[in-house]
Amino acid sequence: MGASCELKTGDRVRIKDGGEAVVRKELGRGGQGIVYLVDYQGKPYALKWYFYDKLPHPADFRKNLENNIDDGAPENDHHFLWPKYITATGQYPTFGYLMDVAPSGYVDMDTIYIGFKWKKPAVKGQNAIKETYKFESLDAQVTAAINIVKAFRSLHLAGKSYQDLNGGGFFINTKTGEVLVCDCDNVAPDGENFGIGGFPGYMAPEIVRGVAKPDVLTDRYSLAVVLFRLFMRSDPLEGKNVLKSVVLTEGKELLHYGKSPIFIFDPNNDANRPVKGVHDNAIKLWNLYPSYIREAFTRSFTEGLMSPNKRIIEKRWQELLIRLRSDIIHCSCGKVTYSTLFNHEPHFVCRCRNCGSKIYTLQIKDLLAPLYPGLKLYRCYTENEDDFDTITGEVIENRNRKGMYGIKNLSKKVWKAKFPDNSIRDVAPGGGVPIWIGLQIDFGDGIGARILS
Amino acid sequence: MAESKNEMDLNFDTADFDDLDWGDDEVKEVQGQEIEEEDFLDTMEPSRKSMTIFFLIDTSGSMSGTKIGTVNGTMEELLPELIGIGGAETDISIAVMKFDSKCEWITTSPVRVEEYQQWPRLSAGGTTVMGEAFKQLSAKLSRSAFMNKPSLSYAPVIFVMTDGSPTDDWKTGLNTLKKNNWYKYGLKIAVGIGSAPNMSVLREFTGCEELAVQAHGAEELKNLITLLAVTSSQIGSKSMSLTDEGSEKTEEDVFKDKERRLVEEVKKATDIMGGADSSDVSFDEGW
Repeated sequence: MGASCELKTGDRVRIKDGGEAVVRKELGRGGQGIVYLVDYQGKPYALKWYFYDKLPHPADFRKNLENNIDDGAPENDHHFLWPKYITATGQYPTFGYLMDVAPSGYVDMDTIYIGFKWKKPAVKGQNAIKETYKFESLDAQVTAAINIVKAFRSLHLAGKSYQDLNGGGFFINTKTGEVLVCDCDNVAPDGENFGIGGFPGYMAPEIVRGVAKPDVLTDRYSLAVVLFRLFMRSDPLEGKNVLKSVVLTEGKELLHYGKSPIFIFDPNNDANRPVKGVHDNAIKLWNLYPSYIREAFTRSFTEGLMSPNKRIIEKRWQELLIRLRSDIIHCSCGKVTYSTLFNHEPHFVCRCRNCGSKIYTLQIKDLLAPLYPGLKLYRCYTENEDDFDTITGEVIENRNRKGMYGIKNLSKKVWKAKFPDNSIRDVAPGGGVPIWIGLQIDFGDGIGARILS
Repeated sequence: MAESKNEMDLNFDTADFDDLDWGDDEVKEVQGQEIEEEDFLDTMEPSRKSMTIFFLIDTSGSMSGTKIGTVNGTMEELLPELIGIGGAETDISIAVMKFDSKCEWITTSPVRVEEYQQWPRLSAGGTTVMGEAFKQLSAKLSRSAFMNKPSLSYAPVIFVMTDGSPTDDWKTGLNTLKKNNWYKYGLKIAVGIGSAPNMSVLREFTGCEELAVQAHGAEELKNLITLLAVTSSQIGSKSMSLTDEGSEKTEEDVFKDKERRLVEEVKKATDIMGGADSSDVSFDEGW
């Protein structure tokens, strides 16, 4: 379906549920089809309009799309630009679906990854304009990663796989880290596939080799690539060994991304290390992240490369990333960076290299949280709940005693604290305990914590 | 805070971290080169693959008038179409050579297409030294010439446009080119213009019958150049995609995968264009 089935401004497309969508303008086009801005029932929507002959199994594809519309988005629906309405049959030789329009302030992850977007010049003959984009803070960057993981966790728990995970599939707010997953049209019940293979560079090796089709386990590989690119701004598999090929022919691609991929930081194989002058981001950033993050990526791209079941599950990523976010120390002097860039003293005390402040560490479950002003504790840590959103505690400065910091109880439960003098006190909601080394807290539910000494 | 009575019920158990140390997590900094928040966010542009699209344009005497005029007009309109076409993965550069009685590189080296938006309108005159053009192209298809980017490359797209027959020893030139690996793995496309292009030379150049096409009129020429340049840039600048097979792929399976895909796309699109339109302005009438 080429030129003959494109829509133009003013065209009216019938919707299966009734009514017509009126085409306003083209928003963009890709390999599978064109996206138009349309009005339907007095609201703006984006219409994804397929090139019919680019769909390997159009009838099955349409049926699956209808099922997805009926099912609705998984739990955290605000993370998805989910298909809402499908066009009627019979009017045009192809079809499409309506979804909400991405709000302003969001940019796709590819753009953040390369750091810019080319804008066509207003006047023909002039060079394209380079618009630059980046996260506004480390917190926004990690929050975006958490939101991406959350979205895929809920999708996978709903029994579906996304199949085509790549940097073009997310819109991100660079200020807040809010994420919208778009292109949800290939989502299918786990184990089913309607012809999509995925995006080069993000595809699991077994798909590249032709021996598997996209499913939840291959989604997990792609998710690790998305996260690696987000943090390291480089490709996890492109290093010295790949660069030696000079030209990435189809055969070389099969080799380096399918048959014998090597992680650039594989601890047991240094054949594909990043190359200075080409992969500088990877060289610079890798060592700045805490070891638990490096270990998670190492596992994903060593054992996880060839053993799909060894890939990290979303819940684990969520825990690791929440921990990473709490490792962004906001020192009272204004310095903001990861705990790795603070001086490490015994008993997990961080000392600011700028002002010399000491930051103590609270241990809860497997979390080691540096207690800087503003650190937040979440319900998943202080209670046995799968809730990574509700804040249950925060490090604040005592209103009456300047310079004294403590953990404020923002939960609905009464905590108990054991002070260094062995006295035990209740910490009611709204109350707090000072940050004293050796202090222990019982959050209830059998969850204990202490300030390491 | 009230004193709590029942200490026995309390749970202050935590794993023993006292003996653990920080491991290798601390990052030392060089004085004066401290790493700030911005260093994580404001990094360099990641390494992207490069792909060059070569245009070899016949500017011999027979091209003068409407033919070169249409080529110039089409190129002017094509350049903005190519902005951003490489996506997040690939930087697309353009290299242009004109050939008549001699060869001349219009671009002294490949230029990023986003920064090459002003088409220098070409004029025509002289003979058709296509063999020499092939030789000179081969010389530039080298790590020590045009293909000198330190990052990874995709094989180039090589586009030839001509309306006649070579007037020199094209065979020797093409044989030189055929030994070049960049040519071998590249996507080769040729458009013969008007009624008298030597299509057998062009077919030998592309090595693939479907990728040597003929444009009889101005409208068809414009459509073909745009279609072929855009499609080949899209395919050339990306990696392979999944086919519907279920068995382990070999290198032979994927060899020329891109060329096959390009042929498919071109076939589909030219079916829709439906060949020459009777209202199209023929290059061979009105003399």
